[in-house]
Amino acid sequence: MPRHLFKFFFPASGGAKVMESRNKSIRLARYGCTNRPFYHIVVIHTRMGRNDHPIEQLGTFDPSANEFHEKLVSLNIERIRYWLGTQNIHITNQVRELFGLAGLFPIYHRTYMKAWRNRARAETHIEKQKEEKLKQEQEEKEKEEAPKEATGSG
Amino acid sequence: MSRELLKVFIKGSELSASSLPFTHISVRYRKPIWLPTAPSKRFRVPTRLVLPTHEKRELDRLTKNYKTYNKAMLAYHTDINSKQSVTDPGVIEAQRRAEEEDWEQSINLNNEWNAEVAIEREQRLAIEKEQKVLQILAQKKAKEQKEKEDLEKAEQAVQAEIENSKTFITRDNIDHYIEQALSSHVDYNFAIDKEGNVYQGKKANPKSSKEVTSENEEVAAKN
Repeated sequence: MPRHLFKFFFPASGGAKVMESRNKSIRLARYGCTNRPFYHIVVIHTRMGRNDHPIEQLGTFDPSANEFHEKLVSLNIERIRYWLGTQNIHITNQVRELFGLAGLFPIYHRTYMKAWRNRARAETHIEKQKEEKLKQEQEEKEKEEAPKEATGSG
Repeated sequence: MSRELLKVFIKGSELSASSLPFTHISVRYRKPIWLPTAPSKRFRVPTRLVLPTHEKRELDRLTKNYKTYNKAMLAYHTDINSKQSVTDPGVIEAQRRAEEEDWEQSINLNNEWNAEVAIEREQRLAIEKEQKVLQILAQKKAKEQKEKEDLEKAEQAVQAEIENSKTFITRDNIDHYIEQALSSHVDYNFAIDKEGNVYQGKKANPKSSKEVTSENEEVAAKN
């Protein structure tokens, strides 16, 4: 059967035949559309294409924040734990980050890196704001003092 | 992308890209893979990211830690899976035990059912035995009765034969009977009319016949 027909008849939510000799990975499969990504967390044979027929769908990940500034993730923990116990399973970094934040794994080191960079950026931003404020105050002071000096001298 | 394709096809022809019917659609198309690098990006050299030393050291430490934890986590889950899998000795032992328990339970249940059935069977057999005894007795009685009847019948037949034997022709009286047979002449040459009158003689005229006898007269004469 041609691949596109195969994909037509067998949906993206899983059901591909498990081949014992082949390596599997837990990774994100991008769905959604242009400029609006949406990911499925899937178990799939490593050599298959990104959106090929997965063995099983383990969850979803919506990277765009909603109105409450939340990025929503759903995980099928029971099945993930099963797949973590199988041989030759490869987990991608993006998925490792999600698993770390979900508490399945220790926090991934990239998460720490992102956090300290964000923190540093926020700190610099605050300092910048403070400096600007100080500058503004000084300018205002100067402005207030300038006419006084002018009147004093005159 | 189709628009780009069309652009390629109509290059050098009379048509132009602006003459296409869907120019009003405003979509930002991606660069097709076969088009070269944009002239503005041709000589761009991407800046290489260099991590600060302290950050790199911290990241290395975190990576090392993570890898250790990762190994432990995967081993833990593998262990759990193997404990739940069919090939684990613990699982095999548990299955065997469950099977044995099931076997024992079924045997007990079977024994109970057998005992129940045995009681029923004994009762049924006792009843059947009584019935059989009665049946055999009845058959015996019937047989005796029949034999008796048969004997009586045979006796009667013998008696009848003895009675008949008085008229039998024997060596002693055969001459007498021969004589009797020879002497008693019967002439079958006779005719009978509608009124039962018998006319003796083969060629006799019934008007002149002297031996005309009516059956009625004969019957009357006999009486």
